[in-house]
Amino acid sequence: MIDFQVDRREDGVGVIRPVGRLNMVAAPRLGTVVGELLDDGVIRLVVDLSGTDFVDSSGLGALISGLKKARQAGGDLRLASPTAQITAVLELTNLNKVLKPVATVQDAF
Amino acid sequence: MESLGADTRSWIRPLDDEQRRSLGLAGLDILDTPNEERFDRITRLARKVFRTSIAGITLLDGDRAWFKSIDGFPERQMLRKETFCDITGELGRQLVVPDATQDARFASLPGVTGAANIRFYAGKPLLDQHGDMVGVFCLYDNKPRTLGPEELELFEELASWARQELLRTTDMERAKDVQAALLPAEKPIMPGYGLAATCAPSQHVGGDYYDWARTDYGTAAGVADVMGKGEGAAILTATIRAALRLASFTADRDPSGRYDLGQVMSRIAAIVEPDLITTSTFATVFLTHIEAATGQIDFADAGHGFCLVTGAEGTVRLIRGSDLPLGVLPGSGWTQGTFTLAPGETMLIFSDGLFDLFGGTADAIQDIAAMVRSYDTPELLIEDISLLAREGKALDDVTAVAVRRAE
Repeated sequence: MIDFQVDRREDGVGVIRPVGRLNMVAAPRLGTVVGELLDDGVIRLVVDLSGTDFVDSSGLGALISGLKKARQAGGDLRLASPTAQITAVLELTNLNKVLKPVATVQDAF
Repeated sequence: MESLGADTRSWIRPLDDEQRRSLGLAGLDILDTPNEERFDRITRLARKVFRTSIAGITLLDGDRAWFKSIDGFPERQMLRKETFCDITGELGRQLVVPDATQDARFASLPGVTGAANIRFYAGKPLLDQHGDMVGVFCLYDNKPRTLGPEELELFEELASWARQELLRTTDMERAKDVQAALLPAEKPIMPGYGLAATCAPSQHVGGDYYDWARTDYGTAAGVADVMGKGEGAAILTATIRAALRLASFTADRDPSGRYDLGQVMSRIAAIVEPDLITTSTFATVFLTHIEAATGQIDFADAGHGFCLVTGAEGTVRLIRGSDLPLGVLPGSGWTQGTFTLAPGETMLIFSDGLFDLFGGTADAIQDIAAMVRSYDTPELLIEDISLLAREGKALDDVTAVAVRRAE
């Protein structure tokens, strides 16, 4: 089971922390969370992956789709604290070219 | 449908209930099929939990009632008009008969007057995917009784399980067969090389596939993996397959028949990216062409990243490009790279399902390479990869193509 902890920071950055497995079941919920933040004008988003055990291709799809929506809204979506598994998947798919991971949430914006 | 006036749309003839039922059954392709455990376990369980003498899944076919599964009764079919289920069918709703001898509709049925000595009956209509009643989930007992509120709830649960199994038969099995048929039927024969491949969906159908074919001067082989799994991914996988074939057949060739895989990938992208974007999906694709005479392998990599080459001396090379998957940034551009498969080396192109089975981190590549090295032929390697996918309960589709160049 996955849980999404959402923190709307005072500097206008939205931090989403998926806890658990970001897979085919959880991916649509990430899309909803991103959509809600963008609707509220929170367009600079950080997905904090420190509590995310595993990301499958559907999870990657949800991150890319979130990135596209954030950019369309004039903002951006960045990844923070990816685990070794997520780093490997991002590198192998070359998706690190568009979803650039940073070490900590503070480094994102 | 009421808005379609008979005068203007006279070619649409409304069907009566019996015609709809008959077509529904035909669509399920289930009549006269052998016993199946997935149905038998439902009737066995029902008979046990309700402590009745019979539990069944009855299909109403013309003038017969045919039992897809029946526990506690020796026949597979009966005359429809002599069954309780026929009346449930006519009523079109759930029916509970506490004592058939006390109910004029049933008192004279052979099942009540004869040796079966039926007293109690409960039936719940089973509907096809269009909501038409094709059968009945039913219980019978030779003592009068009834079902309490909790028992009724459980009875309805079991009936809806039976219905799910009925519907699963057609769509899933057919989709599985079709997808399996879309894999190449024959293996290209290329002297001096051994080839083998597998595609094991984690569900009935999957988002992975591979394709290969002989060319004028070697063999083309490719693997694609659409994000996700199951039916949604399978539909897009078939689209990519068609695009790949079209792009390969129509690629610009030089006088020797050679063509550029970067161009092929870009053309696949031009065809499928609008669909991938509409469905918020992406796909990774790895294309290769192996030149038989020299072992030169041209490749194009759309974010797939899973191609390794192992040598006899324990060497491992990861072959990958720097281009993005299809559907991420439209029209991002794809290029061709080249490497050589030396005699004695094996190339394995695989999907992330295998990568995940090996732990899904950078170490997995070394472990997969070690596995590749430990087999003498690609056939044995691929056989064990399929076994691993099955035994390891892979959560994602597992696809692999192995090419070994003889010493």
